[in-house]
Amino acid sequence: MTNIDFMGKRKIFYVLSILVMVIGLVSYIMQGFNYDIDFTGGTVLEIDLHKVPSAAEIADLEKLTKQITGTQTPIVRKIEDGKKIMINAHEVHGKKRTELSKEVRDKLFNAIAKKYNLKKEDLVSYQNVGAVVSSELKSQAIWAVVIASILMLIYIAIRFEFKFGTTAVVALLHDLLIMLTVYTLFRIPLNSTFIAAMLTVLGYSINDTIVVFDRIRENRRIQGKMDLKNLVNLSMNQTIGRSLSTAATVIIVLFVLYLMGVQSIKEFAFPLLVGVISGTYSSIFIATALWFDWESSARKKLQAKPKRA
Amino acid sequence: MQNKSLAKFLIGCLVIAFAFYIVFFGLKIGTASIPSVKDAVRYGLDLKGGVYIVYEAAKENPTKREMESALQLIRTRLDMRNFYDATATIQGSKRIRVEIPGVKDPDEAIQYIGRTALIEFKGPSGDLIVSGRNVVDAYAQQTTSGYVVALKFDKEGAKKFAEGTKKYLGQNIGIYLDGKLISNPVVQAEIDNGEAVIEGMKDLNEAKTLAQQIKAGALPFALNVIESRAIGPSLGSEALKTTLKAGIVGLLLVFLFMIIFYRLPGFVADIALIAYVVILVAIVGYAKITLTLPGIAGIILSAGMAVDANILIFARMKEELRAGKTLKAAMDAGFRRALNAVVDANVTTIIAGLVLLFLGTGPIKGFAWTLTIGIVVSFFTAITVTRFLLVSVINTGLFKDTRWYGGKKTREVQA
Repeated sequence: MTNIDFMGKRKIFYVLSILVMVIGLVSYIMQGFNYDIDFTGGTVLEIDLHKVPSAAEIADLEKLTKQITGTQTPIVRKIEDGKKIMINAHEVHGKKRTELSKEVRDKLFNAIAKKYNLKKEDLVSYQNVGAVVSSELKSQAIWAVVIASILMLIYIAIRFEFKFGTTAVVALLHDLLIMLTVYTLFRIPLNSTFIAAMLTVLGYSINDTIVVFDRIRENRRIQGKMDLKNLVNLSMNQTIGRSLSTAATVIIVLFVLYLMGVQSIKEFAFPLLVGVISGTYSSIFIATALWFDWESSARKKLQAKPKRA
Repeated sequence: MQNKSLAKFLIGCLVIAFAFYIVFFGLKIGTASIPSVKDAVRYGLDLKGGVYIVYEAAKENPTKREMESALQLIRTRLDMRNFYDATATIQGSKRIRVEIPGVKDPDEAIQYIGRTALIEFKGPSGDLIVSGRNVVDAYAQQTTSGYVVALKFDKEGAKKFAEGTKKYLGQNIGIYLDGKLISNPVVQAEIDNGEAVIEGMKDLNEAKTLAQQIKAGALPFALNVIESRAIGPSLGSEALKTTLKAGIVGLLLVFLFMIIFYRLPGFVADIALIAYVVILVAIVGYAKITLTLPGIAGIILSAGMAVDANILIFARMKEELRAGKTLKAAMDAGFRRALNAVVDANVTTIIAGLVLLFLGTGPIKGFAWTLTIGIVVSFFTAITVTRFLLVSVINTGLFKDTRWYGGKKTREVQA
């Protein structure tokens, strides 16, 4: 068993977490999110070029897309083995963004096909998403997070106590903010798989927190007279091994998925990887520390009261 | 006792191996057969290729009946085109999602699904007498004057048609298809039995096609396409292959991890993990839950999470062993005391899974399904399969040294 004074160092981790979130906020203000078609509406074309395009060629393709579709900031990026590209574009009608009409889409593909000598099958896939779907997806995502958080809070409050439930959910929101930070910082496209990833982290990152809380609950019963700080430190030292183990098995799986998976799986595995790592960190350093601060200030108040009486 | 335990353990392993074989390779005894999951599973479009289209009713608050009749109509049209493996489902209150495997161009599909063959009977001044909405049946017929489409109106339609033929006796009544005049017969007599014919068909085929179109033409409202996607079939099979490969490699690494860190219990957990994969894959395959790419990710992810419960139990067991308990007591305590944390951890994840299931759409739903089922199954295998196998192994008395259980020092423990 390890013997680390986790609680003594908790302020370092508060500062660290706040620092990351401030970086995220700055990045968000500076460059916002890279909303994928799922959120903005528009068309995504996936084209097999049969060769890896150079940076200059990508820039040319973006220029071409801008010319033909009128998209102000079209996104062209390499996917999978680099020989395929994904083009993100839309048409603008007044204030509304819409998907590309068949004519415009054909015109764009034919222009690229001519340049790279492609056949019809090289247009691997395309997707049109309306703006209605997009705005609904956004509100759906927010609702899902809110509802899931409330339900988990209620469950933990019943099984443990309110303070555990609240700090566990705060740690969860912390993880989501860290995930969002990574998204805005690295300009990773935000799409519908992101929502699934976020909710999975929501469900998963609370697991480790529960393991630690469960141990505190138990130690409180067995070692009732122990000083709170020692009790929390003991519980954390007892559980850190298995917290790291459970995180490791999931991280292994996600890491392999990220390395080997196809584009859509990569986009899914990456935020999960970030979320699981953040979830393990936050259950050890944030959730428990917050609970400790809350509980000790509550105890101080309780001790102060009889003196006044 | 000891031999019996060994037999129990081996039989347990055999059952799992047998189930594994059936699920992944299928079974055939005489005429009875169980298909392998590979053949039974329903693949989503992202794995098979094809198009999907989401329609939205161009009407505020359509009733459930209206949505169902629109759905029925779309199905009829898909069948007419021989797209028997296409699916159409109502989504939410005013959307219909259509998936057609194997088709490449959504625009083409939209054209024939979305086309309303609107039939109208109009008087000489262009006033509407009766429309296709009141048609209950339409069929092709061969008469002395050539091929015709015979129509039968409902009660309301019959009444309207009778009034129209009375009013315009001796004059022309125009029959319009989608606004185009296709026949302009002169009314010979008042028709009050609700039957009419459209003349001027070139051949039987044209008559049949028109009859089918009219029958399928009574959309209660217009449908707007709000989303359409096309996925190439090669992309789908490639995605399936690489994702499966990644899943197998990931699982093997988890197997290795468990054995290195938890020794004998880790090995037992690995066998239980195989049981978990078999059960989960069997449920998804045979219950016809559509398997999507995120769905596979959900299976792989929940497999990574499935060993979590085992880790909690084994870590507890290690602690109890160190405290000097006998092997059996340590195991019992390990299972009992870890159970609280395991239940709480699983329930919170299921909460997230269920929220995802109810609020998500399309591919996210596929992921939520496999994740939720995966967690329930993993909970089951962790507390039953792992326990059964571990008890059997311990009772064989072959593994008494603490090092078999991840203890640091060599020490004999009592069973």
